[in-house]
Amino acid sequence: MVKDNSLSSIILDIVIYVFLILLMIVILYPIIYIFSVSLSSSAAFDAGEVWLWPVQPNLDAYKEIVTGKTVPMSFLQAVINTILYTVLSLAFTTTLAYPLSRAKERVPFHGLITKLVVFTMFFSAGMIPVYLIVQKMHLLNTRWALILPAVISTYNLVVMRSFFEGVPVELEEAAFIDGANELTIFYKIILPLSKAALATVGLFYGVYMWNQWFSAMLYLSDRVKNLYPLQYIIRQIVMENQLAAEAAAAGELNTVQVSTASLKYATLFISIVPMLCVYPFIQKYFVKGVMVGSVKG
Amino acid sequence: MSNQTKKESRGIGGYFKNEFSKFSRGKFLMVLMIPGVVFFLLFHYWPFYGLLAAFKDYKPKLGILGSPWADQHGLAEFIRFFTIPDVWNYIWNTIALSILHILWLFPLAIILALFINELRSQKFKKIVQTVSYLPHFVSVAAVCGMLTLFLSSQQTSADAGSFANEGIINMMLLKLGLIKEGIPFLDRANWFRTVYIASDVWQSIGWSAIVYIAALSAVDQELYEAATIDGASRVQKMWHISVQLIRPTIVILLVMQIGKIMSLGADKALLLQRPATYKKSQILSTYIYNQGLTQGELSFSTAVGLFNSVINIILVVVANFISNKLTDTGLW
Repeated sequence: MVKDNSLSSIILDIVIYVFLILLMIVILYPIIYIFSVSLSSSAAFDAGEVWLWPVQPNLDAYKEIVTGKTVPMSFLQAVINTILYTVLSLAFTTTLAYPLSRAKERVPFHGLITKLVVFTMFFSAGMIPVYLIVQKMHLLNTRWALILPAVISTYNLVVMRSFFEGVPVELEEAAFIDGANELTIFYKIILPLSKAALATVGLFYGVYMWNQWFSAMLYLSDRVKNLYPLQYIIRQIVMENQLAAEAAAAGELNTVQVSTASLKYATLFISIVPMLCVYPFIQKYFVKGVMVGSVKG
Repeated sequence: MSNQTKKESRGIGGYFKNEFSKFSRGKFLMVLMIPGVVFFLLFHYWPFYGLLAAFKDYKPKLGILGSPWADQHGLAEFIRFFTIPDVWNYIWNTIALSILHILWLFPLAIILALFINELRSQKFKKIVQTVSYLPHFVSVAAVCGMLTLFLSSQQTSADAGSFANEGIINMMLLKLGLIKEGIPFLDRANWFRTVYIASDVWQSIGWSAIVYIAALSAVDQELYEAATIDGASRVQKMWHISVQLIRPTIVILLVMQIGKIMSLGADKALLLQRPATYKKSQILSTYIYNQGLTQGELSFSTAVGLFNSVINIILVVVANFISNKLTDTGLW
């Protein structure tokens, strides 16, 4: 770009940098603050001394969490749900998206199925009828209630289909003439060429499941507390002082030296951190994914 | 399009004959599609049958078909819905939150994208982008958890020596002398929308800007250079080149957002609402949840849900029509 040293250009630069740096502070500060409180001593927090960095740093809150039952269990559940869901969703999504990305002439009921799928983006029966179906299928209070009703996101399906449309048909035709059938073409040619798409859509699905708490509230009763995923526990801990009550009920009052506050902050931090470690590595892919999704919507 | 109508004119028999003729080569693709199609039938189309409950006095024991009709027209639940005085309030709360969301997030995301596009240092650009995407990956539950902790208050007076019982936001405001007493934001109905929208912006500003950033990065640099030679300032170039080039994207996204104005999800509002703030925090989806699954009024909340879905599809169709008129692009 041509260099511009006029006064207005310099002012613009100042405005831009101030805006962007302020934005980054506003975005990062809450995360850093959570981390700092989780590491600070309860005395320092109770005295209102924690502003940015940890005061009298220690790992008590994390030790308390690791030796407890609720958080490690729900963390494990969230990991299982996320892995299972991502794998299943990718399987369901690619197998439907690929045929829909191919020419109408090759795929039976192409038009009908496309319409069926797209319609669901705009009209849904709503929360209660879906709940009744989940109940009818005896999925209530099982892990599958969290996974199956959401196993395909229509938005992700559209993103996937658009990626597949970009794979040249000539490749398949050549393989077909060489005697490969459609299934071999799909596994041996299409999927290996679509790693970026699989990473993007896989990330979208993984994030969705890791961050999901509402379906647990809908479909899991307190009879199956062991199945509660981490985000649902977050809601309970942060909002209902659950962990403190649990410790009190178990007669562990004298062992609870960590303030409930640092426990809450530590749990919050644990719930946030896995996704924050993953997304920067897939950033260049999902930027593309969002583009495709928004254009084809 | 004309091809399709020709096929349909051969009647339903011709349609199936035509579809089955694709089988010889397409059967693997057909098999491949089965799990996905079964999913849509089970979890998207079977529930439509459940919509019947809206017109019935649904009793789980009797099943949907076995339950008696709500009244001779089957509309009793809908009529009841509209006679509840608070309902208009809930509808308005839903719309107000959606509109505020659009009014704040849209301009801010566009400004962010324009500013990022002006950066010359690639390294700083990358850092800003990565940081701005971060909150998108924080769950709604965690965001609301943070809000609950940060905004809490024991209403400590500014004269007290220590503000230790206050959340960080109140601590800051008290230290700076901006308030006289800690404010329990989440218990105040008048603060609900501000908290909801501000955290929305925090969570989505970077993510919403992606589309514009990508559109801007595709712009031919020669356009900017030509404008520079013509003596255009950078602000002028931002307005006359950058903004004009992303205008179609802005219009279509805006119109689609407006189409979704009544379909605000329940999850965030449920996490942030307290009985003290229902006046502002009860929206249609939380009302459906509370009535249907907490109070067990299944027929009633199905009816409310159906009403909501019908409004949504009307809005989307209208929005799409407008988008097609304005930009020649739409969803269909």
